[in-house]
Amino acid sequence: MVQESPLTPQVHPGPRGLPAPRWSQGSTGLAYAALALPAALVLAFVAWPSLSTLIHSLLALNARDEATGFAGLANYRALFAQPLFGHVLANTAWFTLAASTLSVLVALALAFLLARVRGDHPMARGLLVAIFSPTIIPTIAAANLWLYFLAPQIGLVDRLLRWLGLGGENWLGQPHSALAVMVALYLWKYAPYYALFLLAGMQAVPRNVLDALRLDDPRGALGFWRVLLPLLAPMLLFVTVLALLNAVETVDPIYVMTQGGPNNGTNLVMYYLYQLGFEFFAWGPAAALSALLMAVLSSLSALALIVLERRAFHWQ
Amino acid sequence: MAIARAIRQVGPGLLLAALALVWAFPSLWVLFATFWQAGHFTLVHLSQAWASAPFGGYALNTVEIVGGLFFAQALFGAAVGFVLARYQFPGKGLITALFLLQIVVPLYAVLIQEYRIIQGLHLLNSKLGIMLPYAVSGIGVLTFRQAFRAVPRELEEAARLDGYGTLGVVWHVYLPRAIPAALAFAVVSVTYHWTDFLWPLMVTNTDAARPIAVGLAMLAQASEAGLQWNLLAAATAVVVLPILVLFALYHRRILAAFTASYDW
Amino acid sequence: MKGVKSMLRVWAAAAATGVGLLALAGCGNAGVASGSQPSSASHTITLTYDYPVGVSGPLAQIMNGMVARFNQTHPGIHVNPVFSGNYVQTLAKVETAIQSGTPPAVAVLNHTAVFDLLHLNAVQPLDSLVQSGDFYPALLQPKVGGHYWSVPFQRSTVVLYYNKALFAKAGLNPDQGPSTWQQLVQDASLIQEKTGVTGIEIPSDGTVYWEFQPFAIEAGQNLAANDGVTVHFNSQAAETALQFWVDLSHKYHVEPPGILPWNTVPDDFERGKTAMIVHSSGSLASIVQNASFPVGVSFMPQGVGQARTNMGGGDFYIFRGISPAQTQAAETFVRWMTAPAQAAYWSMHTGYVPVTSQALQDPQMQRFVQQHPQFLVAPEQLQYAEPELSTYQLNQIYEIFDSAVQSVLDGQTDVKTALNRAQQQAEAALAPYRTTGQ
Repeated sequence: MVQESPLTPQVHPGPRGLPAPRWSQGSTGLAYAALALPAALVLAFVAWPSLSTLIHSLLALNARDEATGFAGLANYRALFAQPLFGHVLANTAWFTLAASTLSVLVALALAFLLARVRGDHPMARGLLVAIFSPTIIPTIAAANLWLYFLAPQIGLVDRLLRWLGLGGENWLGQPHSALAVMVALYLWKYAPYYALFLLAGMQAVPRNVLDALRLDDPRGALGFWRVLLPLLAPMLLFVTVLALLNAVETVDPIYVMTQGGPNNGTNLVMYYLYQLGFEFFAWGPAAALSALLMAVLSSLSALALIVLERRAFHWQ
Repeated sequence: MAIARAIRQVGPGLLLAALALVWAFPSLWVLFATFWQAGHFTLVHLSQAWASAPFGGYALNTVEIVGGLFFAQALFGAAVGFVLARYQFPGKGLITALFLLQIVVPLYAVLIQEYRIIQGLHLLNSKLGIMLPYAVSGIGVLTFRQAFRAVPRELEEAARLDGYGTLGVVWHVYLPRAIPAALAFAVVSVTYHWTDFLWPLMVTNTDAARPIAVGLAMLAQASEAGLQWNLLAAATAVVVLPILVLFALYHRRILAAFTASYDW
Repeated sequence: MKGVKSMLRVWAAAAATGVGLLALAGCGNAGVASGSQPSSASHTITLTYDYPVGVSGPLAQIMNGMVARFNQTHPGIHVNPVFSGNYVQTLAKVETAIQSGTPPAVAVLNHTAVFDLLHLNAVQPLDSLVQSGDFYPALLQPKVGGHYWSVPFQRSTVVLYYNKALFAKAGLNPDQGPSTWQQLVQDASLIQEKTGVTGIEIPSDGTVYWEFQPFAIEAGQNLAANDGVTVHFNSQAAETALQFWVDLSHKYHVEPPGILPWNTVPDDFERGKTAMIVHSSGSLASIVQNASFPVGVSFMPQGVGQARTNMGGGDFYIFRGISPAQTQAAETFVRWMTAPAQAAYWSMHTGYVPVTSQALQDPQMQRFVQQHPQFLVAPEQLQYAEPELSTYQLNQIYEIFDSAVQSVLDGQTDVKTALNRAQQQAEAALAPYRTTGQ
């Protein structure tokens, strides 16, 4: 499949499927002892709530979220019958598609640029700090700033646009532009982070491959498509899945900036789950949505994990 | 030709500089709005913001939560990672799958049931309540497992000849060699929990347990209605400045550790 | 086997740290007395007090200052004020806390939350507290199940703010706002023509139903009956009112199109970007303070009948599931906060209606309103005010109606379709309460 990079660890377990050699001489008892507490925590705080989510989605729940009997698929039917459900799904689909595609593309471009500028360029330090600042700023803090920049009339964006003869746009006042703002915020926040992963992936491309490419194909176009992209493919796939996951889970900026509005134009599935449960107290539909969300997110994460395992973390 | 070459050499740098300006703009604006008023450097906004909410308490809570979580995740990650890297035992596949489950099921997908568990344990409005669901990190386990696998067996054998038991071997041979991996994992863990919002918001009710991201959101909502943007900018500065400075100081080491450990 | 033991010892230490934290957390979480302030004396009663901020101004600071004064003057009681977001978020927070068996002792919540709180059996009747004060009757409507469940505190009405300077500049009488819908349109167009400033802004996000209600009431019918289960979303009156809203932007062009944020509308007004706004009387203090021009406040312009408005804002609730001593302390706190001196203080610093006539008669308040007669508009409006939209499933009903209005303003749906759909959805959501709830 993929060539091993010189940087992946030298000590590998046996071929996949065969057990790794056992050479720590401690007892199996020690192994079990070491696993005891962490395994218990995962059972209690990951496995149990997952199971419990599935079970609750099949129970009749009252306004206090107490089970009053078995409901079969009634919660799912009630969820699909919710006036907002279709709208929220459509929003989430658009947002996820746009945000993840654009962020991966921008990340790729950033990674290539960063790969060239790295080294001891005098500006490198400032550049790196600048580009990665969104990654380390809480979305909440960033959302407040964006709220200010985008305020109609008084916000910087509007003032800038009016200076250019445009403007007068109420960006968060219309469903489509508000959703577009959310995509832009996502891009700003996550593209550098994904670029970091891609950059790490590019480190794994052997130096001599890069040098050969530079000699044979100075423009880089052919080399990019034929050589670099295939080498980067697993990392790209991983980053894409990560981007999808983060997009589906987007909720912080919604909570602070739009509360799902205007006209539910930015109501995404994670916010909707919060709203169904903790604002509408519609626990039945909320349980069903949670179960569906778990199925989708788990499949995506599992995909990411499989990519990872095949590339570097050899299973067992 | 010379111009074309110059463009090719300087172009990416210039482009990147332009992009960096776009990306850094909000941070720069925060600095400007906080420290600059009517052509003068000022600390007025900053001190007002500091007084407008119990930021000291928030910061302490955040350090406890983020630091405590990293400590727990690293401890558990190292223990489990070591076992998975170096032991064969019945049920290993199942155990591995259990820890992978932690990656596969994000907390937010099972938000409501997670909330019920914390509620059942009477841990609402406590830092422990925020932390417990995150205490074991699957990524942490994988990171340490990978790092431990890379340790040459000769080193372990030599240490055993010197009379070290398993824990001694782990302490003296394995852990020191996992430090870059731990640092890289710290980046992932700390950024995630430092910026995490909805879960701490739901679990906490009072300032006693609120981390800084939640506190800032509360302050923003309280003053949003009055649109005290300078105050808000300064409060944001209170929150992001320390981490920006830290990152500015150590970014080389952080980025290097990250790329070296996640060079899949 | 030494390794196994050491390993287990490590986990035991880790678990002990966890349990230690748990014990610490436990102190802060026992019963309702949450908060980490240690009791200074063993007899100090601690109360958690959740409150929202829904209007302009540094209200959280004013509130915390008042609570601090209460704590100073009442040795045996310690109140922990907890700011919990806007009204919807605070209600969500409190209802969740009730469900988890750790209700706050006191909270300020929408007066309209009463049906949902009763459905959860969460609040104590406060008849004696209410009857011992001389609250304005309009603030006490509706009485549900024969009891008063909340004590009026931060109550407001919907009012019209106008920029007197711009009115004068356009040749209009600066002492009087527009008195009819028609005149509103005329004044707004005239101002736009003469000064180039936007005529009017009516917020259309957040609590859309609330700013909309006076228009519906003036067109002939309120949005709901007072039984918690009946809504009139697709009435002729609602239709007329919504059509008027649409016309303001699309026919008369005196309001910017699209959805205008509740939070930035006062800001636009203060900066002279719009000549008139519709907003809460609770934003008055902040608007007067921030505006650099004389601010006019008037009744909502009248529709078919006389000028009307609707009530809004929050009341004190005291919750079930707290100890008798806490209940008593909570009553002391509520009585103090709504006493004339404090009610007047709160009113002067926010613009909320003084909730009792004694508060209005308070000497300081009297001096204040002589300087700022705008603060008298809301109290005078009370006799024309109708109750705010109040039902079971409050947040969901609000969401249904607000979406309907927004989808029309947004140009996605026409008035009739949107309102009919909202009516259907609301009836479906309220159906379970119609049969069992009452």
